[in-house]
Amino acid sequence: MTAPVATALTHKDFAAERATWCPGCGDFAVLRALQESCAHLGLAPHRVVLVSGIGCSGKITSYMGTYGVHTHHGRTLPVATGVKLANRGLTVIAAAGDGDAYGIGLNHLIHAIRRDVDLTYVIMDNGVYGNTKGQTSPTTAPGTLTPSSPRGAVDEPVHPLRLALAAGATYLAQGSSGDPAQLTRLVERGIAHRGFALVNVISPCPTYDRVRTYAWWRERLHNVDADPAYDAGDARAAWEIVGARDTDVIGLLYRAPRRALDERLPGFAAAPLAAEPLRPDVDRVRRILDDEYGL
Amino acid sequence: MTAAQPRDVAWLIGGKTGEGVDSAGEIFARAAARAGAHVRTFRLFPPIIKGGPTSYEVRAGAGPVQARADALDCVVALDDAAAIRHGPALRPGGLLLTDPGARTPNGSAARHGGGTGAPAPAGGAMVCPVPFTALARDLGGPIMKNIVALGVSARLMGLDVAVLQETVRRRFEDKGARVREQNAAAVDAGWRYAEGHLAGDLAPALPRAAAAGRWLLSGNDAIALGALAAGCRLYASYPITPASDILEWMAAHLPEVGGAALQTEDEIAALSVVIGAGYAGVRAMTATSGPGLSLMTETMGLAGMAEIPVVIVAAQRPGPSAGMPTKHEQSDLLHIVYASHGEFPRIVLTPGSIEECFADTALAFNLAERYQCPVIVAVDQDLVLARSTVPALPLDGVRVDRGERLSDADAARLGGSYERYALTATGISPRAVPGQAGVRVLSSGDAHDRRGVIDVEDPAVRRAMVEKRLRKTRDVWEHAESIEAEGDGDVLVVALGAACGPVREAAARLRAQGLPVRLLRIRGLWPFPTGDVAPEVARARRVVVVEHNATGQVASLLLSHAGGHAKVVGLRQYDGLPFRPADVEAGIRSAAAAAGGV
Repeated sequence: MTAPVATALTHKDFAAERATWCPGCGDFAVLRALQESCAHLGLAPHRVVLVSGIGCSGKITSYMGTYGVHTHHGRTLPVATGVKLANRGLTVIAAAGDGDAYGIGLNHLIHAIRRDVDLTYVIMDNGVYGNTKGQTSPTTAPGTLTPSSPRGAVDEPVHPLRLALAAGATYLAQGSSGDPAQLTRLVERGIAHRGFALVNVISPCPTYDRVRTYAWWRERLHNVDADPAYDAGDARAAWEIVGARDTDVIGLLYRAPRRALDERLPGFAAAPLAAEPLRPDVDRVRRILDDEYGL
Repeated sequence: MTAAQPRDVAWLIGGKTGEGVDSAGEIFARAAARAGAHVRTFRLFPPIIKGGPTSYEVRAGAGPVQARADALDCVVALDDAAAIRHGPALRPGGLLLTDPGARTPNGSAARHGGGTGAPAPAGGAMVCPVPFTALARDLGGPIMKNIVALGVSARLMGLDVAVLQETVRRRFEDKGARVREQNAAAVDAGWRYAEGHLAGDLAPALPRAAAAGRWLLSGNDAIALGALAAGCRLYASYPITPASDILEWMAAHLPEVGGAALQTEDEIAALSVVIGAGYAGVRAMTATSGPGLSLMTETMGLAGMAEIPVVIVAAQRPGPSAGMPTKHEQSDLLHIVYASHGEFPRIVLTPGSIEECFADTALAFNLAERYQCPVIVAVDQDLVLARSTVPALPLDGVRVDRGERLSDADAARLGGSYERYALTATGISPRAVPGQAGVRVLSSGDAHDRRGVIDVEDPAVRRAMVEKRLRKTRDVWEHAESIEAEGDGDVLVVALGAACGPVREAAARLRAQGLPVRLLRIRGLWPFPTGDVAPEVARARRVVVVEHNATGQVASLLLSHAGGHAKVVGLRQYDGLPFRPADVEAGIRSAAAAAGGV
């Protein structure tokens, strides 16, 4: 893990360009939660890499004062995996929209979860393709009228929380842009989790979704963090609540210890690869090769 | 390379997949090489794991062998189909070894032509029945007949039985004492049978010499080694023929140097992992074939736009779509050169031998970091799968050039004024990697300005950044070989990849026959080396472009960038097989005489 820096950091140490999201966009709270989390954890900005995808959410790398890769659509996770394996001393965070995460890049989510790559995946889930002006997304509710579903969306949505549990997630949380303090805690604990941490964020789109507003969500979100009886270490409890409530729940839903990918890879260097000398021990390699190819 | 060595000998074993044809072929190649022959192998195999027709050719010579044989000297047919398929490739007087009663190419059953062991002629070849199956059954089962066949072949072709036994023993080293004993007995049984029943001069002898200092390996092996020697520490790919060997090699050996091989969920993820590693300052690579490269094309554009070094090995096979997964072709060259939307620089290297697979893969890492762009090592099925004897590869001779990196001192000094995408005269901007304090780098697939800040509005910034990226690779062929020319003549023969071997052999024969041929091998296909190729084309009376595709992809690049419309002729093969030297020889001879125009 990254060593804390000496002076106390604030979210301002992680600021960059001014955000251009629409007024009222839930993504502002996500950005702030990332900045606050990194500051609380005392992470040096140059030792954090944020990887984003395409769409409104993808712009977040421009606004975060850390290293960043703004990738192509849906591929945040494999790019972030490459960064983490190249330098396991870095804190790697991937941020995506629901189109990135549950549409074009859904394949990668399942595999990143089963690999348990040590990174934090924050999904800014607004249930709409905002940057292309409001078409349906994989988490749009059936019946919703959008420019690409003028007679109402017909498909069953992706159920992110059930999906993540089924794939074997070792850290699963859902936060809401309507509760920035809790969201920050969930992201912060996700970063501290040694393994793949998924934080799905209800991040309302005030421009294209006039139905699922902050108020609409507030009425239906059940907060497990406020329930002392809820045990996030109990997989059955997690299954029960996402089975019953689907996405109408926030808080830390499940956490289980497992060895992260970089700890499981056989022979993997303890020091970051980026700091290792380039040249292999030629004599040792030559012995292997003489044995394999020599005559 | 001089004219084809007269003592070249070609042996082939054919049968069904699952019968140990590949194992037998590999053992025979290795034993022949250990006995001092230069060898080259050629496999013909189906995408059928058990029961499909498969064969393994070993061509052995006193000097380097660079192509499959024009004709075979000895065929071991483990089933009728192999006899019928490969018997016709025997040279007159060549020897077909099959079980007694098996079908032969002329339709007759293999039988003794007279006394014990006397071969019967069949379609110009000699058919010699050998009870492989019966001998193998006595040793524990018909599965042993491939090794029995090796014993017979060794006796007939003058291969030292002790060398063969040692090679077989090493092959089955980790299979347990019983398996080793069975295989040793099978070699012995075959050898004794041949000694007791077959005349000693039925087949030509394998060349013999000292083998010290040589390795026997494939193009895939050499590519993996080149990557390792260049400091590649992360490898990510999805299994695909004919590139899967590289994944398996990396999975076996990268952990020995602290690295890792990742088998990703698809090729998009594979290249994306490589991009992440490249951004973070670690040398990483992926390898694939046509279908995988198609999936990677959008991702390649991200590396181009964000100026992140990546190395991609593209091992071609016949397309489109799944095509012929286990066969040979060079029909993805234009795709490799143009893949992905938009305009960005890339470098395409086209090695033409095992040694060049090693050297060019190592070089690819230097070029990727120097020019901060995708570098594609474009190879093909025959080049990556054929095994050849080569001098031990120079592992410690690889030069490492990491390109322009921002030093930690400069990072601290520049701070917020650092421009990741600074507009320099060369277009190349010093690169910072995460972990360097004082600066911050945003690398984006969106259009951006000098500092990396996204700018999708300003026409002047757009123009400047497009030009910056495109000028990066202008001087690439000052740092790498773009062409290699050999021989003098007014007929210029152009080839790359696995076409180089047969073309080189054909050119040598033609020169020996008095046709002056100059061979131009393209080592760097993109940026097209106009400055090196155009003068060669201008000097030639006739240009013959030899390639394994139907539409003349190398020829089209050559015509576009080096001219020569009136004198360029194509010689093309697109049946899934690499050229035989004789086909190229005949093709060049008639093309040299023909009128120009592709």
